[in-house]
Amino acid sequence: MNSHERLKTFIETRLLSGSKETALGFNDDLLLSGLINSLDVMRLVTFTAEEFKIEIPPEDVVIENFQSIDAIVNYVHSRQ
Amino acid sequence: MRFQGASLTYGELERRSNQLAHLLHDQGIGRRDRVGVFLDKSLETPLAIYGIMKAGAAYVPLDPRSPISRLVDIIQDCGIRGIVSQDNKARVLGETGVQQDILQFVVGVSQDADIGVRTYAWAALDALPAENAPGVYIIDQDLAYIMYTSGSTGKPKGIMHTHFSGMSYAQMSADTYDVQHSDRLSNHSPLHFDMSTFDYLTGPLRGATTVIIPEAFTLFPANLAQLIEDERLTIWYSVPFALIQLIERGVMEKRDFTSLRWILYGGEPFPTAYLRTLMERLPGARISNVYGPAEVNQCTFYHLPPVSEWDESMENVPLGRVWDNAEGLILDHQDQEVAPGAIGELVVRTPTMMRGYWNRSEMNRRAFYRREVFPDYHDVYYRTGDLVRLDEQGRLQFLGRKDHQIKIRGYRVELAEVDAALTRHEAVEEGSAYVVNRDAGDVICAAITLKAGKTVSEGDLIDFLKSKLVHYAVPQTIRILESFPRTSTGKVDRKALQQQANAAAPLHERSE
Repeated sequence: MNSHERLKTFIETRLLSGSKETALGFNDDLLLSGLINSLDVMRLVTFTAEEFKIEIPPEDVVIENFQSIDAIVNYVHSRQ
Repeated sequence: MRFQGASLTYGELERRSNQLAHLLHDQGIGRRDRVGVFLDKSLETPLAIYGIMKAGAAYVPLDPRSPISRLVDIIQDCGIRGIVSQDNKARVLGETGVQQDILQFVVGVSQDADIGVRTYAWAALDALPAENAPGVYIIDQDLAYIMYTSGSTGKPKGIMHTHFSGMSYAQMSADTYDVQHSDRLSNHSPLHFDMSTFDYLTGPLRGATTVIIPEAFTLFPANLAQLIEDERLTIWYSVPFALIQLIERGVMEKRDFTSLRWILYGGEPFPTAYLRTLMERLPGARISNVYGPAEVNQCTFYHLPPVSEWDESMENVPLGRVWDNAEGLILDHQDQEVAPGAIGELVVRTPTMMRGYWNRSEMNRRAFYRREVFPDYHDVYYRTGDLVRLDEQGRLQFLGRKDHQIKIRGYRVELAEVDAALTRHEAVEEGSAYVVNRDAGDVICAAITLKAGKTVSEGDLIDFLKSKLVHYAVPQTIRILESFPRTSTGKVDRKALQQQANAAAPLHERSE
């Protein structure tokens, strides 16, 4: 699986398990309408750091880097 | 009003809300009507609430995150005839199934949205009179807004506030914190949470600027810290959780927060260690513990002394004193005032008090304490359900709840409501929720017993609960027990239950 797919699988199965949303697009806004909560953000950050073996300093945990799967992949590439 | 860099001046708010009021008036909306506000954080929010009040109706916040079943409960409970909303909500509104028999129109969605009722885009306001509101006469006992909160029966209950109680709150809070035209307030709270009345009523009363914080910012402390600095906020008001996150993630150090002169917090206790850190980081700001159930808006305040003057009483920060033109009593089980220093339930009489719960006569009988002055004339107090005592310095100390109502990140949750939702699942015989204390805040967990021959996975049960409960009330873990421990009166012993549940295997392991 490529980076996009790994993130998509994690978000769909671990964070959105209860929602009836249709398939998540890579550019979809994850932060709209309360799709995920603050605990989910922490899980997503931890997963991203472990899965891609990068360190994520607190100042990088910002909307711009975690708004969509595309944004996370771009951020991961910038850290690798 | 500001939102994501865009501004709405008071002149624009006045004209645009006049136009909305005319549109509502033309739909037959007036005194004794309710209109829903179903919006993400946006500049449309203040337009909606002022437009609705100018039309003579009460506004009813609808949580954009709540399950459809809860929306339907609220729309049906208070008979919402119109809703102010936005395009991305059209699908959910269409799915409520309350069209025609209750709901008649929606403002803020495009005309081609097929949701089974009349729709009006925002552009429809353009042609309507802007200079004056429709000639609706409102008396101060008319309802201004209804806030729905968790109810122990499993159905939300509507707290009715009048123009008098809302305006009294705006006046008293503006005086207590000396809110001025030059102030810049934070709107951190969602509209359906009672803290929003400070941001939307108190701020405008003094012509201050209210900065509406996008929901995504509340998830990212680094962005929130940047916003506080960029917007030069002077008065912050939120639940402790938001401030704790700023401290925990280490995002405050590099930011300039010197504009802040007041930090108000409420909804739940603020752990003292974090509070101390906050005060040390922000020497120029004063901190105030705000207390009051949504039923009274606010009724006490405690301005914290400098850290150097703290004693052991600060381990459990006092609620402080009842504000000036209000009265508080501490009552025992027989409704007699307790001796000075003894523990009892706080009851308060304040102009900021609700009118009652919407259409809940039994609940309204129990909600108030009536002290007879002479036959048929009573002073009416709201029973807070909170146990307090008066300390030697005349400050109220909070000691806990009389019932099983708890707070999760400032939101009220009746554990009985979670229990009721659990037992609505076909495999569940009994369900009981309880609270687990974590450093950064409490979380809800639950235990169940199964019906004979039935089984359910934890994930499936949590999914089921997500469709029945508001998101913050959904338990984080659910454990299965053979039977529930009970007290001598036959009630579920939640303390013993919690211990047994901790020892039990997680549900998903059992079901595999």
